[in-house]
Order: sequence, then structure tokens, then C-alpha cells
Amino acid sequence: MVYPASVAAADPKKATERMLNLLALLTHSLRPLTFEEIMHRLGDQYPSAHEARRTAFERDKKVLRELGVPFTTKTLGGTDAGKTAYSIDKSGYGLVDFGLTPAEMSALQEAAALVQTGTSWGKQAVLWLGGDVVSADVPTSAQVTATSDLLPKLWHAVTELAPVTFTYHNKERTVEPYGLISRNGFWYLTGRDNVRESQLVFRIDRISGEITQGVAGSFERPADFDITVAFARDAKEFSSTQERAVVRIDSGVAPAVLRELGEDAIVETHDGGVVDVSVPCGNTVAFRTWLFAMVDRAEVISPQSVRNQVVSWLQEMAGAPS
Amino acid sequence: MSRRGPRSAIERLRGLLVMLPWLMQRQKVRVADMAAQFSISESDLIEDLELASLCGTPPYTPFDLADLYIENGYIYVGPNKKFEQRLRLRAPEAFTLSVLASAADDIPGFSQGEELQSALEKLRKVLGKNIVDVEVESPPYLDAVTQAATSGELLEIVYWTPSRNEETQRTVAAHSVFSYKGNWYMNADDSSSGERRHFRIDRIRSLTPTGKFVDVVREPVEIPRWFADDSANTIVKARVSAEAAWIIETYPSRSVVENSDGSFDIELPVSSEHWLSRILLRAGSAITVTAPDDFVDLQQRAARQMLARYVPTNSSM
Repeated sequence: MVYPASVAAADPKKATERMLNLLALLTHSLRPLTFEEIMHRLGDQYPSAHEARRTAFERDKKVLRELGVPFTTKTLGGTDAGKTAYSIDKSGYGLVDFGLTPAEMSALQEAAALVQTGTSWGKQAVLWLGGDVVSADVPTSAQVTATSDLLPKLWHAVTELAPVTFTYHNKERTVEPYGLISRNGFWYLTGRDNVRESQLVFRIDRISGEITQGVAGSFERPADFDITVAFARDAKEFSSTQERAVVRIDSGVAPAVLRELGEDAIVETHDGGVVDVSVPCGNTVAFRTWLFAMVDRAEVISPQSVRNQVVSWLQEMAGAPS
Repeated sequence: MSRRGPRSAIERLRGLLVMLPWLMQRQKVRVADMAAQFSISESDLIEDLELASLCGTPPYTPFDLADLYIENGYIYVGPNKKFEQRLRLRAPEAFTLSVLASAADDIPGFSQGEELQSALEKLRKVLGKNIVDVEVESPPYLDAVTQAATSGELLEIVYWTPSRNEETQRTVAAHSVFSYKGNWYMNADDSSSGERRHFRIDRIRSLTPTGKFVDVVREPVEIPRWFADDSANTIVKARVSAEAAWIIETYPSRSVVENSDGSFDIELPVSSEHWLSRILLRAGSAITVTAPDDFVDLQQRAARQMLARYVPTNSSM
């Protein structure tokens, strides 16, 4: 946010006091007030020369607006025809009262205590809502780092249904943003790339430079969009196909595999914690990526065609026939 | 909070427009408590509130001013309130609130899920719906470890160390539990080494409560600095073809240079040979390690190691 340099240069205490008084005056006025009426009531707080006081007033108005005060203008009719009048649109305050109960506020406070995002934005939000910054009652914390300045901008674009343009791997992309996803310490934007005609996932720390937001309300999110499964829609991810393989998993990695696939994937349990699991293998790129992540702690048992394929991949990399 | 130079009017005003509605909800607050809540020095807070107490509407009689005063270390708010209305939540705060809400439900020990969901319903008009999704994994034993860190109960665990592929039995006193980049860790006193250590909870193979307890000293849960420090890692240089660009997407490279043929030259911090083996096997011919020499043939070695598991059976078919 960029403010006029002259605001910072002015006596900060006097400028703060003047803007608070302007805010109070317009908040408590029953009707919009013209510049002249405002100056009549606050005049001694503004410069005496007309041009200077007009400039100071415009500056205060800009600052209050940028801080989120719903400062509105209206052109009058009748005897004051053509004059501009100013007011504070009380309905424009976004957070007048959400009616949060003490228990609901307590839940938000505890969430802010348990999750470390790397910024003070969460705690500020709790204070903004009228709550308190508290310490967690449990010895637990989850770090979900969300320090990138791009995240709030992208979030805003999602809520506004506004397309965003950014540079990704040195190429310009324009995306209709659908949502933001955090997985394993990384943030991703999911949305539709109309040039590539598909829903894609972009890693946010790979976006270089600034993003440009387009016109709000330019698109609609698909009615069936579900943020919780959007990540898996990436073509690189596992796909659910009919073709399946049985893979033997060593005890060392079995717990992690079962957490990923679920106990339903087990087709046989062996001594010492070794399990055979059934997994989709139709997307060979995804299957290979998954299988080889376990190095020699997993082995395809069947079907023979998939097992042969794995051996072929390994022989190619080993550089010599077995 | 430390700062340089005098505070600007914008800084003061922004702070007051958040602090005053918060204060107006309360009748009496200790100066020190409010300063701590808003991460502001007590002297700055007093200065700002004294200034606000002189503001209001013309003709500025006591009745027209914000009804607050400071006495004996406390801030008192009278019935004639001003500046009660809160501003619209800005994008950074609203976004982060969505993050907290999405993550908190998955954290062991968080007991107010129902109330949180109810709060989110009320905040929906500013937070939207289905916009942010944070996944926090819940490995087995996470709840048991969290409970032990709360009660001080000693645990007997069998812990798997991947680099040696061995399991060891230990008795541990868990002090705190935290997640970092998708994995959960416990910070615990370890009987085997006699040291405070971090254990990855998904590597605990079995866990038995002992019925013995140590005193619980509640400490702030801090993520250790070494988790963010990759200075001890080996830097591996590799050429990655476009089809394996997922490597660049998935792992933090120190340097990425895109070549004219669509391939990339990357510098990747590597914590272990085993970890790099996984990436090399997954990428196959789409990646070539160029340095250091120790790792140039790692893909070949890893593939041969894996083949040893397949070939005896395969050759008999």
C-alpha cells in the first residue's frame, strides 16, 4: 500500500487525531456532509489556506479508504445541486458483527495458537474479530508456512473470481484461480488455464515476479469443484484406472503406504509386517514414480506384464542386461 | 516490538482502528496485557490511547469524546463508546484465518472442531467456501505421543532408522509434538543416547505406555532452526529433461536454469544418498547427475540393487 509521502511527513500525532475526528464526525452524522460543512466543524484541524486544506482532506480520505473505511461520496441535488457530500457507509463495514459465540471465538483462538504460519496475520485476524491471542493448552504445533505475499493476492483473486496472470518457468500464464492447496510444506494454486484447456496445479514458489489480477467476476468456478481432491486432478498424480498391480511392501515402509492407500488395499499380510497391496497402475508415469520412491523396499508381484516392465526400466538404468 | 524512528500517522491510525473496537468490547484491561496482545510497547499504547481519548465529534465536550482513560496500569472504558466499528478483514488476515481453520482440525489435541466449523459458517461471507485446503497428515501413534507429552508418561518405542534400515528399542519422554513440511516429529529425551532428540512419528513401529511419569515442563513449541538449514547438504548438479520437470516442482532447488531445448540444469541440496536414489529411479533417463563424482553413477547402482530383488524370480519365469 502506498500512501502520499506528505502524510508521513506531517506531524503524525496531529494527522492521526484529525483523521480519527473526521471518521467520528462522518460515522455519527445522520446525513452526508459537504466539504464546507466538514471544514466548518473540523476547520481548525486543517490548514487555513483553501487549497492546502482541500489537499489535506483528500489525503485523509484516501488514507481512510485504503485502511478499509467505507468512505462514500454522493452528488447532492436541490439547493446544493452539484455539490459532493461525504459519509461513512456503515453497512460497508465488513465486520460489524458476526455473532460469534465465546466458544466459537475460543476455537479460532486455539487454532491460531496451534498453527504456526510464519506471519502475525492469523493472530491479527483473531484480534480484529475481537478475540484474544492465547497460548495453546497442548504441547502441539503444526507449521504451515504461509509467508509469501502472493498467497493473499491469489486468495483475493479466488474470492473475486478474477483471472490472474503470472510468469511460471519463464512463461506467461493466465489462469482462472479456483483455490489454494498446502501439501507437504508447499503451496499450490489450482485453476483453469484456458490456453491449455485444462485444470492445472501451479507451485506458488515457482511463480516469479508479481501477479496481475484481471476483472472480478470474469468466470465461474465449476459447480462440482472440490478443493480437497483438486490436487489429485493433476495429470501427474495417481489416476484411478481399472488396471491394477500387486506390490509387496517391506515392513519399514508399509505403515506409510497403508496410510496413503488405506487398509482396504491389502491383499495379503506376511510375517514381520510385510504386506501385499493392490494399486492402480494404468498411469505408468505415476505408478513408476510411486513404486521407485520406495527403492528396493517394494516389489511388483503381479501381473507378469507389469513386473516385466519394471525389470525393463531397471535394466535400462542399470546399463547392462541381467 | 522494536522499531526505527517515530511511528507514522498511518501506522498509528491502522493500529487504533483495530485496537479501539477490541477495547470497546471490554470494560477494563491491564495496559501490559493489551500491549502484549497487540505486540506494541506499553508507552506507545498509552500514547495512542490518550490521543484517541481526545477524539470524537464536535463540539468535543467530554460526552462527545471516546470514553476511555488510563489509571494505575489499567485502561477503563466508559458507557459512551466511540470507534466501535471494525474494518473489513484484509486479504492477508482473511487468507490466514482460512489456513488456520483448515489445518487446526487435523492437529491432535485440538478439541474444538465443532465450534470452529460453526465459527467458519458465520465468517463465510468474508472467507468464502472451499477456497483453501491444508492437509496435515495424521500418522499412527500421533495421538498417543501427544497424550504422553501432555501427561509426562514415558513411552517405550521401536523406532525405524531408514538410513540403516534398522529398528531400535528406546524409552522416551516426549516434550512437544510438531509438524513440519508434512511430517510429524516429537521432541523427546531419549534413553538410548541420553540426549534430547527429534523423532519422526511415522517411523515409530510400536509404542507402549510405561505407566511411569516425568514432570511436565510446558515449553513453547518451536520448530528447530536446523529444519530450515540445508547448509550441511551436498549440492548435486543435474540436467533434467522437460518430462521430469516434476522434480523442479516438488523439491527446492538452489538454482534452476532452463535450456533452449526445454531441459533444466538444477542444483539440488541432497541430505542422503538414499533420498537422491529415489529421485533418480523415479525420473529414469529424464535426469543425469553431472556432479559431484560420487553421485554420477548413483542411478546405475540403485537400479542394480533393485534388480537383484527381481531378477532371480524373473529369470525362472
